[in-house]
Amino acid sequence: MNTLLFVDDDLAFLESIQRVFKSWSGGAPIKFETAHSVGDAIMILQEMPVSVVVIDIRMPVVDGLQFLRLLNRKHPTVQKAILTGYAEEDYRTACLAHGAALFLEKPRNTDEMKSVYAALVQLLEFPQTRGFSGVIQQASLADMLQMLCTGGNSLILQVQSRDGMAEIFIREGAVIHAKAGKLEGYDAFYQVMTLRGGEFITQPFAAPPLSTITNSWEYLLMESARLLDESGALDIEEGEQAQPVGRIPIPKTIRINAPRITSKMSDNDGALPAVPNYASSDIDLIFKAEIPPPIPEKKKETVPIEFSPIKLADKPVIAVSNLKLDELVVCSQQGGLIENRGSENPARRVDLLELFSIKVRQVSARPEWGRLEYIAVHGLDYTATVEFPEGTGAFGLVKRKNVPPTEIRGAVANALQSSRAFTHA
Amino acid sequence: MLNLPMRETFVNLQRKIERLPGVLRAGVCLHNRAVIFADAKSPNDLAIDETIWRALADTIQVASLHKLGSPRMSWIFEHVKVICMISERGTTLGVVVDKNSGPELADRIETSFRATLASTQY
Repeated sequence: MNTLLFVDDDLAFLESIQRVFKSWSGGAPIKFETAHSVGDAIMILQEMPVSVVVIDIRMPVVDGLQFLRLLNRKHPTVQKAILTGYAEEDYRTACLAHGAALFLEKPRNTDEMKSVYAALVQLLEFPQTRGFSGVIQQASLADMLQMLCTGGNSLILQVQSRDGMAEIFIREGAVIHAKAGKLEGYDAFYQVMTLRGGEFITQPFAAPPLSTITNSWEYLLMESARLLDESGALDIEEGEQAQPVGRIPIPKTIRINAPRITSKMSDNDGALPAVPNYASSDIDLIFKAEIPPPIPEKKKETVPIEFSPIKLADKPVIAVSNLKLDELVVCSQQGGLIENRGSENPARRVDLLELFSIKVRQVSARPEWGRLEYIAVHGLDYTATVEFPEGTGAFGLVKRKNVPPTEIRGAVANALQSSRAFTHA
Repeated sequence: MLNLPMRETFVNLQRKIERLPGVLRAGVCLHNRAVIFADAKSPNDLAIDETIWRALADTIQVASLHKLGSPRMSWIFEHVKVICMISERGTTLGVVVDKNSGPELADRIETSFRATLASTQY
């Protein structure tokens, strides 16, 4: 049984909301308690387990903000929500900063009441979870970002170095904004991600003034890796001190502080009002990481045939084609470039193939659809195909629209058959 | 968070598309990665579909950024084809269709999608 406790000095409002919510809850195991003062609320909290406390801001003697602070100390695991007739930005910021999971305006009609009800029930369904503490060796900022995004978290990742602080805003697993000094958006993100060291800590999510980043985190990390690669930061001779890519010098230790991982609210329910997914500022995870000494990275080799080659004989469905390809890029499972014909930037095509190969697994989650055969991309002035035969990735492009993809696949097969990759078959 | 008119707009679009012969299922992934389906499914099915539609959106978004213009993408599986298209603001429509459907079905779907986008602020 979940208990929602409403704390408000307006008795009529308490009676009304208790009656209406009780009728809407039907047979759901939710109990609605009311307290018309903070003192009453404290007594109820001592007597019974409460899941969510819903607090009015303006109350006599002890106001809602002070009560929030009390709750944080005395009942840190209880979820807190604000329900106020004074939904001002200053109050909102202060309440969220003091651990409120929701900041809601008092409903003025039935529709608004339904929205409040839905938001509070949602909060009951996704209770706060306690985190863990531990040490992760040799973690990188990219590893941490990946973990936070994969977990669908909403938070701010603050990266501190000797030259200043940068922030990456993550909402429900998506990077939406970054700032570093005067930089904002992608420039800021890439500057942070190409740092080789520093400290970082996570803060509860607060909406940034702008959402400047829309790309998926996978793409952002790949771009970061590419920029790091292109900057030459990895081409370090043995024994040589690594130089920072950004403006911030490199300490040898990264300290990572991460907050509790919070469950995310469902984001496909359009009926709910805009409420941030907020976590308490308590820190439950502490990671420490040693940066290993820089290791000179080997340049990607061309034509490293160390994998199962494509066996075209096993693919009779691909028709042989006389079509002339404008681009052909083939890479190995490890991202090594095997074949490039006509691409000005094959590394970017390999990045694209790598991302596609990750997404193929996710898109292929419906067994009733069968195995993925290929992907066709129809642009305004080109047609391209992507496929993954036998542990490789192949990208073929013709600079004409509406070319049948089967013809491009045939041309890819033709081209590969005559290439060195296939002499190995 | 999604507001109601936007949700209704895309639900109506999906219902319209799902009436076309050869269309099996449609879904929309918004620029903020919220996924909208017209029909209710079990939570487990919904979670799978949300993952799929988000992955479709990620892929077409990345393809757009790799100087591949504003593409329409088709994922060809053994039994079905998944057609995917994206708006300038990052809203992605994914439609599962019969594998044997021709390009004219994709054209019709795209026309509906673009018309919906043109008539709204989304």
